[in-house]
Amino acid sequence: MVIHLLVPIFALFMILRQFSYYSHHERTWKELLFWLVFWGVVGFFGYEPSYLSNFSHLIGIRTGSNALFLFSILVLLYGFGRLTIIVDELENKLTQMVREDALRQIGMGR
Amino acid sequence: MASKPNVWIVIPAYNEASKLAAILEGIRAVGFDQVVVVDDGSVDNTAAKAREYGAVVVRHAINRGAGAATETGLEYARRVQADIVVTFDGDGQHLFADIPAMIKPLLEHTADVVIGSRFLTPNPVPTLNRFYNRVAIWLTFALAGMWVSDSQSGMRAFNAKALQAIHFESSGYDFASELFAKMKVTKLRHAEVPISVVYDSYGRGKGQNFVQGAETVFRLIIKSLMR
Repeated sequence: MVIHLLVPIFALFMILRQFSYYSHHERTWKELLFWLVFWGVVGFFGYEPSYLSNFSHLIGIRTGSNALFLFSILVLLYGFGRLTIIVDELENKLTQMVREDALRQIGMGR
Repeated sequence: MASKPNVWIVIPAYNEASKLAAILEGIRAVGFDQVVVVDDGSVDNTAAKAREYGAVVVRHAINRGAGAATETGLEYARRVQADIVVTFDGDGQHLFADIPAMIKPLLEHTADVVIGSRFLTPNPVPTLNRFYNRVAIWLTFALAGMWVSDSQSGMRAFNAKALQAIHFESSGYDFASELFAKMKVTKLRHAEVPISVVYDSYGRGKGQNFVQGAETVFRLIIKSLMR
């Protein structure tokens, strides 16, 4: 099934992104490890959904569709988290502009 | 450090015109005459009042938050090559008499950062604030790996080394936890000094309420996980 390939490919893409973040000093090694494990697990279950079924039963999610629903929520949460970070970075840039302007007003600008 | 250190007091202030006169006079009375007030986009006459009482005023064109205002004050101190900086709340909560004790560990070279703790001496801190602080202490420990008795205190002192090492990025109240994360990474030594605080009806209306506190916690967790 297509989903067997799509999920691992997406997970692989996300894993490569984590390495990119790490190499650009945007992740600590702890965060890198966390996300490698997270996307590794996602990719594994995508490739071997039978394990997902067993795991789903183990934690009380009865069907594969429920597991997919849960996965979708996790992806949305990830997107929400990324947006929060992006907004935070924009806020920081705005603060830096306001700060530099304030210091320049009293002759302390760079 | 020169024989007489270049000490600056940084006061982040948002709509604190009614409190500033007493604070600035008090700080001068205990022997510190270099004060920078960061007016964080106030809509009252905070800036005019600070100038009237002899402080340097750095004015944000728009309100950016407590963390941003504090960092602006610290940046000013870096540019005037301060040896020691003490941050002091603009709401009249802190006592000027505590400033000499705050800078003592820095002058004795036993610490790089001094935290003024409200919980090392009996203080009339409201129960809700005590609860918030307990949560913040545990959160700081979980995210930064440092245990202190008062992670949210606005009264802190930095030496020149700490001033160069720590640059706050958080605009809001989460800068308090950011401080400890950066102290841990940069291996700065810290000390805690008991301070007294005054909680009048004015001061109780300042700071974070429950919703803002929850937002701060949420932001800290998201940043820690995803940045």
